[in-house]
Amino acid sequence: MSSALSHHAHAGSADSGGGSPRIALIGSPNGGKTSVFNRLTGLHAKTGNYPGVTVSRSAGVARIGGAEYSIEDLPGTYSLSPISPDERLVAELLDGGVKGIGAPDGLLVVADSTALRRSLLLFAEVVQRHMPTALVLTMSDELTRRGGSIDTEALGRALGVPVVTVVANRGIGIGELRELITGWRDWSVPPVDPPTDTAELAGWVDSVLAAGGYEDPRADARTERIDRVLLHPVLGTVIFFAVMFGFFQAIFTWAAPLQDGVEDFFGWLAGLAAEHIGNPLLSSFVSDGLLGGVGGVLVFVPQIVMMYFILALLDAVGYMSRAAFLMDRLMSRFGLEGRAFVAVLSSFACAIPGVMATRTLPNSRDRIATMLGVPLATCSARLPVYILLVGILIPDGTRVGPFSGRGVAMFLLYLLGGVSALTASAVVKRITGRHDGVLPFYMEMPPYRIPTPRSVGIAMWEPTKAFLRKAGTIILATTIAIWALTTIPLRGDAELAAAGVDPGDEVAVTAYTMEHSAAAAIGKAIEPVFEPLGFDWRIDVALLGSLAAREVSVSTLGQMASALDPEDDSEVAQGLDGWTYTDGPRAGEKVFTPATTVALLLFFAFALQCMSTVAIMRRETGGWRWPSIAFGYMFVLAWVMAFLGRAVTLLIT
Amino acid sequence: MSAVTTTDRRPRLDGVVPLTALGPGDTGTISYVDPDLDHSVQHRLRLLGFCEGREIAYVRRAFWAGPIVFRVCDVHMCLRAEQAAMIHVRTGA
Ligand SMILES: Nc1nc2c(ncn2[C@@H]2O[C@H](COP(=O)(O)OP(=O)(O)O)[C@@H](O)[C@H]2O)c(=O)[nH]1
Repeated sequence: MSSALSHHAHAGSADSGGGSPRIALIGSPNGGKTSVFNRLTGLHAKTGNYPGVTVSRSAGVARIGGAEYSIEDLPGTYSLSPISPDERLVAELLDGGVKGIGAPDGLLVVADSTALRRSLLLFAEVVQRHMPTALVLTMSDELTRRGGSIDTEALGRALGVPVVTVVANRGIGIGELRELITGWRDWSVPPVDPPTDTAELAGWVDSVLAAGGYEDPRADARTERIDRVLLHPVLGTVIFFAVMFGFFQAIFTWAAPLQDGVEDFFGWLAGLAAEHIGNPLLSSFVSDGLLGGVGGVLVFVPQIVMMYFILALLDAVGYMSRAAFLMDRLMSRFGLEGRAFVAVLSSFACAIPGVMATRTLPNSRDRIATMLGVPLATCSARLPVYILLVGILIPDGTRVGPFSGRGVAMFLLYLLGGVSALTASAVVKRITGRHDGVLPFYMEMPPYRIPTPRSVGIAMWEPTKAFLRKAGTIILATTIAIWALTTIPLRGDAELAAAGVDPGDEVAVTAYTMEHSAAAAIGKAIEPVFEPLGFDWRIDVALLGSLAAREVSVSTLGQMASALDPEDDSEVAQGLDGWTYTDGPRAGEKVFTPATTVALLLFFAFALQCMSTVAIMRRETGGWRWPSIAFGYMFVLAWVMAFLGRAVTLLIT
Repeated sequence: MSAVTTTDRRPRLDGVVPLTALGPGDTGTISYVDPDLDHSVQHRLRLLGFCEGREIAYVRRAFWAGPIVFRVCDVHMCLRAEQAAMIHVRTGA
């Protein structure tokens, strides 16, 4: 443990070990670069962003024989000649042109040995930089399985640089690689450059590979067979929808009992705390603020873990690129590409993984466009709010043809989420794309692979950790802040009695405290903004509460509606049904009319009422610009949509 | 888009044709990458393995006129028809 900690401390400082040699890993996507990096740094990578661009960076430290080496995992690329501003970054990094990050001392090209005729093209570009270079060949197990072979030493002689082979996902050959790294000073710069004219490069690669005794691998028969089914026009589509169905089934149905368990457990803990802590303020803080906040975070965890497990598995097996292939045409209608589909899909569980999934998109325009669109997808935190409001809006037993009215409304809301997310992305892409030309779309389809539990584990653990860290702190902090705003100052019994509230009636006390809290003051202050939508200050307080996580607004409404159990939908709905405006021109009129309910539904559908999403956007884009734009445009959109929805409902009812 | 779909109709498979003229299972040798294409994009296509002289096979296309998978340099690489139309191959016939 102590060594892990010290590891971490070193990797933690942005550019650790000013004196330690810096080795950069260069390679095409899917070539095993991340696996090599993880093996070298032992999972203590520091992830962040390169300054000023939305490209994520991971760097770490490898300890080899007492010495430390800074390892930088450069973004996967097929070429060092950039075709987008993002890609310029890799070239600049190699020149030491990125502020705060020195030029690397040695370059380690990671190449898929089953694709050497392609991978060596990138290698040729790298050695033209005349820096100490070595070559790591991954997937050597696959090369052998498919009947190919390579003479590593002969290849090294032909290329003029040291070469090692590894099986990166199983750690075979990593020992040799570590040894190779210690001798980085001796990595040679090849005496003769490969041709600079790309048209001649293929010939150069062929001659080098001939000297290295390279036998091309056969086409992977297994992959051919599986693709014939999974990419079949009819069968493939059916399977695709089955996989999507399974995905949603897993994250919503299978994760539900676990989520209920977490909820019950924290409810029980809060009850214990309320019972055993004498001081009322402290008791309320622990049970509602602290445990409420931690519970609010953990309740998402089963779903998030389940989702990341499925995504990691599908990706490691190789299905994700097939899904992107199948969806590319649809996504292109919205100006996006097939790979953005994963981000949109994930956001139906939660916008945070959706935003993080945009990392796989090769250019920043697509990343930004997708990021700004996906928070509109119907995430699972909207679900409880929708269930409550649809329940109020549509009487039980209403039928639309053979379907239940409520079911149809929920379906339409999901559809609205998907369509508006894609449309928003398309619009953003249009707006941001006026200046640069159209980038070509290309995507490699890796062979199907049987993943190792370790690689799936790492692939799911990293984002789960990021979710817990980011969303966790934000949800916790926001929950506590909102607790404070709604409960402080606590009212003395005398005051309560004077106001005609029975101090023994907990529900009435909560309602009274809330009505006179700081949150109420804020709610009343912002009332004019939401007045045209029919929201009264209490709804505004709930909107404030939803900043922690949308479903919190249900319990906030419940508390203010004096529901005995603020978590119980039908009780909350009953309480809300009796609400009337407390002041203003509409005083005495019913608040939750169909028009207001529709407006509130639409507001929730479009507003970015989620601080965690804002925080993760800031992290992914490396600044406040995009999250502010996202929050702003979604707020305006939500307001306008709610206003229109209200107007239309008033017309037809 | 329409320009691309017209090249999709398969003419006699001999001489030099754009990649989009091939069908599943067809093979050819890359003859040239459209010289009018932006140089950086030409370069990228070559570094993806679409170099002159390489053997290439059309593997399959996604339904609904989606992207096309090619096998080149022992790898399955997919392109949209717009880019594939920029790469010309000499077919075996
Ligand atoms: N069979 C085999 N699979 C590997 C090897 N190296 C990596 N993989 C797998 O190939 C996939 C892509 O690897 P990854 O490290 O994520 O590639 P990156 O995209 O270049 O970072 C993962 O599922 C790995 O588990 C290897 O040497 N042999």
